[in-house]
Amino acid sequence: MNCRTFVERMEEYLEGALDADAHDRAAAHLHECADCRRRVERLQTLRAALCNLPVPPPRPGFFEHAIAQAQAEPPPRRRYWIYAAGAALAAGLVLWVGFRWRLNAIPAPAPAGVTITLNETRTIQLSFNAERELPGATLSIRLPDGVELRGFPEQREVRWQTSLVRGVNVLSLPLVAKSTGEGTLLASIQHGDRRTELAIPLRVSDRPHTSAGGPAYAERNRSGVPRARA
Amino acid sequence: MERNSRFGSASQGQSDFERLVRPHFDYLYKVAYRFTGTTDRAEDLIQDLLVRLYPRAEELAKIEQLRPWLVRVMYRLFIDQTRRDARRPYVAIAESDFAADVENGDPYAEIADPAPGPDVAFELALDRKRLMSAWEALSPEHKALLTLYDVEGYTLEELERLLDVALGTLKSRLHRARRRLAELLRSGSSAPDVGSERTK
Repeated sequence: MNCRTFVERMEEYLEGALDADAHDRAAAHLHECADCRRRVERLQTLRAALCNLPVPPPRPGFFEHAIAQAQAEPPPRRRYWIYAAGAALAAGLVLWVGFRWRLNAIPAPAPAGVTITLNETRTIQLSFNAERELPGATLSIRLPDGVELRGFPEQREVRWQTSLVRGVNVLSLPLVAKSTGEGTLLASIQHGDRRTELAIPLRVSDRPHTSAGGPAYAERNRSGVPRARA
Repeated sequence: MERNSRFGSASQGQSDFERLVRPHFDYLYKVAYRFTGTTDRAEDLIQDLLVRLYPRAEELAKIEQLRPWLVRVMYRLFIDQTRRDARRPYVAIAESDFAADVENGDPYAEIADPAPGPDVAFELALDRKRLMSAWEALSPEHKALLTLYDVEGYTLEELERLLDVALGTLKSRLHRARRRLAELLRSGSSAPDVGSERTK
């Protein structure tokens, strides 16, 4: 067995799902090949580390409340769109943010704002629809004061190169709010001499949010089901 | 309706539903949290799941292995919600032939750097804070797949059934997800995960 074959079958080997003959060949290869042993060790290390990531508990009484709501609510026939503004914004973005050069001349409606809670991470998703494949595009995110992109502390602008495929390309931005206030996140894509930019109003609140300017606590979740209170 | 239905009275049916679901609640919540990344979203996902399942309480009572069934329903709910969030029609992540993936680049290269002395670096890269940041930056689909396989320990065969995905496709997606996570770890930052999708 060579490394390529071992790699192809590594999951089954570790699961013990190979037949006896294949298992013995894989084991023999592993015994001889330091590279594949390292692959296995690293995968096991990664798995252990992922398993050890903390999972905070749900709010007290959540299960009882969720059961009570399940019994009280009619089966959903239609999705309500009342989730926090980030998701709604992401959805709205797909409707009008087009990485289509022809749209550049058409004024786009201003997006609604996104509210982030202080010191919490909020991931928003931006969708860019490319009419054709765009290798070597440059993505740039410029952040307002008080907001950081997780993993890039104290950086006001983050830029990287990527290739966009034809169709929908989704960018997930985990934002961390460090201070309250309001500002604008600017997301842009540059390809050659062409550039598209998107401005998203951000608001950092020190209270749990539902939507910009809305009540501090979302009464219902994104599907319209009343939430358990803390 | 049969008079001798197990759920003969409304109040009895309610407690039966709770009794069916409660043993799995903590587990479902843990998986929901790993899928979604926040307590709020995990609770929302669980809430939506229970709302949908309650009318099917009698069906649940007949399922032998309820937990994987619940996970399957929750996974589909999560993926549906994720796609709805983006308000775009369903598109499949571009599939690639697994063998071609191996040929074109070792899917474990980033995880298994054969250069001498990289293990220490790899261990450092797995410190909790960096791993959490990298995990957070993964796409929802990648998070869900790695949660089910690498964290919760479902086998490939189980995931084929749970996700209705062929083995080759499943492995390809799994390797892509791990490759992405390794990229995020190795870069030492949480460069946002640009998930590329092609229209079917």
